[in-house]
Amino acid sequence: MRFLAASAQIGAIALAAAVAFATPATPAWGATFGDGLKAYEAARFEEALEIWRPLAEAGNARAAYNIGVLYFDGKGVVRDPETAFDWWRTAAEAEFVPAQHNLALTLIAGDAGQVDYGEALHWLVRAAENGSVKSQYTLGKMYYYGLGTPKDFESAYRWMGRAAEQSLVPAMYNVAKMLRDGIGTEPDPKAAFMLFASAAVAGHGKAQAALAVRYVDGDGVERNPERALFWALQAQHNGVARAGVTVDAMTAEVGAETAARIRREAAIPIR
Amino acid sequence: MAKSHFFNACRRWLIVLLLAAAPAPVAAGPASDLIAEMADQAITTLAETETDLASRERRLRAILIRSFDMDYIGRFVIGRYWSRATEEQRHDYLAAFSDYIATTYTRRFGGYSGETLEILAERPASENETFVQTQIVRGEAAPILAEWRVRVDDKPARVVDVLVEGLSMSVSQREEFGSVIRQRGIDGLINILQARSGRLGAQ
Repeated sequence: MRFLAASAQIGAIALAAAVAFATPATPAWGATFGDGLKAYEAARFEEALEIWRPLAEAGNARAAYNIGVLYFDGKGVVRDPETAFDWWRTAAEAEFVPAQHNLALTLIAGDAGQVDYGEALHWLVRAAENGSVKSQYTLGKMYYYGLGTPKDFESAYRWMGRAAEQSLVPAMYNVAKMLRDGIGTEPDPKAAFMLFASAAVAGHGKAQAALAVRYVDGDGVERNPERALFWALQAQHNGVARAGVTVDAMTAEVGAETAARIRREAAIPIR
Repeated sequence: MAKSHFFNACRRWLIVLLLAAAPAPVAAGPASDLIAEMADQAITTLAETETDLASRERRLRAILIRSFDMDYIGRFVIGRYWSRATEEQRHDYLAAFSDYIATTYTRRFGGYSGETLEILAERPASENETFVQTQIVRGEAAPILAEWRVRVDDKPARVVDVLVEGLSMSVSQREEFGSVIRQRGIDGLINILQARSGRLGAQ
C-alpha cells in the first residue's frame, strides 16, 4: 500500500512536471500557444507573434523557436536572420531540438554572421543526441568532410548509420557507399546493395546509378544486365549523366529487343 | 467583284470594332499564359487557409519547380565555375540549387494571401525569350513591379529569370555565389545551399 501511495505521489509529481513542461505559460489575457499556432496556420503572422512573444519571454522554448522562424522567413515582421538566430539560441539552450538543428545550419551557411563550423558541430551533437534524424545525418557529414573537427570516418559512419536506420534517404545512400568502399567500417557488399536499393526505390538518382553498377559487376547481388539497364535509365531520368555509360553498355549486352522492353518499363520515372 | 470587295472591307471594320470593344489589350501568348497560370495556381493555393501552412507551402514549391527552369538558372548563376566542376559536383549543385530556390521562396512567400498579380504587357527579351511585365498588388501597400523572363522554344514555356523593380534575381545570385565559390569552392557552396534548405519550419 505504502508502495502504491508513493507511486501515486511520484506519478502526480511527474504528471505535474509534464504538464508544466508541455503547457505554455499563459499570458495575462489568456491566449495560448495553440492560439498562436492557429493564427500562424491562417497566415495571421503578426497575431501569432503577439501571442508567442510573452510566452517565449516566460520561458516557452517552442514559442521562442517559432518566433525565430517568423524572423528568419520575414513573416509578419521585416526579415531579420540575426534576430531569428538569437531566438533559436534561446530555444536551443532550453533543449528544443529543432532550434538546435536550425542554429547549426545557420552557422554552417553563415546566414546570421560568419560561418562557424565549430559551434555548428556543438549544436549538431546536442540535436543528434536528442534524436534529430536530420542532425544525425548532417553531423555524420561534418565528420566525413572534417568540418569543425578532424576527419573521422568511424564517427561519420556511426551518425549517418543512425539516420539511415530511420530511413533518411541521403543517409542510406552515403552509408551504402561507405559499406561498399569499407570507409569507417568493414566492407559489406550485400549490406551496401540493400541500402543502395532502398535509396533507389525512394527516387535517389545517384543511388539508382550505383545500384545499376552493382548489377553490372555482380557486387553484393547476382549479376543482372536487365536490372542494371533499368536502374541506369532511372538514374538518367534523375539527371545522373554518368549512368549513360551503363545504359550504353547494357543496351549492347541485352540486345535491341530486350532493351526496348526495359525502356518501356523504365519510362515512368522513380523520383 | 465589287460586292466581294465591299464585304471584305466591312469584315475588317467589324474586326477593328470588336477589338476596340474588348477589354484592355492584355498581353497574350505562351509566356503570359505561363505567368498567368502560375500566379493563378499560387494565389489559389495560398488562399486555402483552411489547410495547414506547411502543405500550402509544399504545393507552392511544386508550382515553382514546374514553372522555373532550375537547371538553366543554376548553371547561369555559377557562370564560369560550371565548366570547372566535376560531374558529381554539377549533379549535387543543381539538386541543391533547385531545393534552395524552391524552399527559400516558398517559405518567404508561403504566408501571403490576398495578393493579386496583374499582367501588364510583354516585350521581347531575345529571339526565344519574352519579358512578361506584371505588378503584384498587395492591398494598401505599394504594388511590386516584377518582370518574368520566359523562354519559349520547342519545350514547354518556363521562367529563366525574375526582375523585381528592375533588379535581376539571377544576376544578384550570381554575384553572391561567385563570392562564396572564390572563398570556399563549389563544395562549400553546395554545403551552404543544403544547409539553407535543410532548416526546419514552425513546430
